[in-house]
Amino acid sequence: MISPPVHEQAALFALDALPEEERREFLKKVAGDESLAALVAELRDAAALIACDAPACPLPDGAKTRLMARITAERLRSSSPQNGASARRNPAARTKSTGLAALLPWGLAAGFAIFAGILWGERGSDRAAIESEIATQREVSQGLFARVAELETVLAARDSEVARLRGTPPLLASIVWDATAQQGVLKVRGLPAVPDGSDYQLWLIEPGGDTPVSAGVVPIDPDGSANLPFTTETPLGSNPVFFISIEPKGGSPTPEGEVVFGEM
Amino acid sequence: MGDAQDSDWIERIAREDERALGELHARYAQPLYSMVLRIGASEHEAEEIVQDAFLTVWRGAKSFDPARARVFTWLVTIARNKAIDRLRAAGRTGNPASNPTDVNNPIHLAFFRGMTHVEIAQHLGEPVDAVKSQILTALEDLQKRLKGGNP
Repeated sequence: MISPPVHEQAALFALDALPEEERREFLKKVAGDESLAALVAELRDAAALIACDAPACPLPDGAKTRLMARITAERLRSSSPQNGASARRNPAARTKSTGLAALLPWGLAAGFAIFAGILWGERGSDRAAIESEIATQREVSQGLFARVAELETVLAARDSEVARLRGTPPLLASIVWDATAQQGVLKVRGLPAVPDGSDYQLWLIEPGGDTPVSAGVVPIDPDGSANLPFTTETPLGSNPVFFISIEPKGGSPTPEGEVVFGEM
Repeated sequence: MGDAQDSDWIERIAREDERALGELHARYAQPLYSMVLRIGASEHEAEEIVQDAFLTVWRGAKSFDPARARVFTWLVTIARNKAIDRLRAAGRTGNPASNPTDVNNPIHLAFFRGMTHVEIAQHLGEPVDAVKSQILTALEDLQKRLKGGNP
């Protein structure tokens, strides 16, 4: 039988309204009394309903996407190659996600999945080379995750946009554009070599606009990766469209060559 | 939709089913976000706090026992504690005047402002015993409301 004063204390405890010392004393009572613990649980359930008294406010756009990107990144960070199966589960659920944090982990997970699949089908003599490649990819992924965290910080603080590019062959490319600072950065992997006498050039154009603005020639490392911080001379808004074309060596004032990669 | 659905989501989240977390988020993120705003967080802080709460659920789903607590209660407790801790650390809690509907409502003062019953009695200028009684009565009313359906 729970006395009325203890019942009142239970209500205050459930509402987190007991001063610290009383709270600690009450915890000792609860620990040794199952019926009191059950009463507290019921009162806590009731207290939680007070949350519903708050005026309804809509979630910010993209809140779910940002959460799922964090979940995916966390899961992949904690995944080892031995338990890579968990990292590969349900990739379809990610396809609707947007943003760099959503893109990179799945690209990397897909990479691991492909390599793991290859590993099953290969003879032992080929395994060492494949395992070495996996190790290399893992190092790359660690660098990219660090970059994701850095960019997420930028995105949280500024009027920023993340875009990804698509084309043939498929490549892993993301652009962060900070409209406040009028600057951005292109990160790309898997760019094929351009024909002699040409360069890749990055362009931005306002939605509905007809004058692309150059963000510069894209310097490519021997491994097909590029990291291009850029600014533009012409001010642009927060949602420009990005594309990459092949232009004569040194770049063009306006895009004249083939557009090979464009925003998804 | 109710406790059984909630428990199913938690079981799937414990198996690292991201879709289940997305469904739980779709069901409860908005009321949690509204609650955290009411506690006094900015919109940016509120989104972070709610996101952190769901991350806590993702990490802790395996140890959650639906037989001991409702999922909604668990979520509210996590998000409310995070909000109050964060705002306390910033020295920004406990101003009932910031929301007129809190001013004379003991359970709102406790829940949204993080005030103890002693602080509430001082704020309202009422005896401590009277405040205790009002809080118990209000929670008993909510218990009846709970038996009538889920939030």
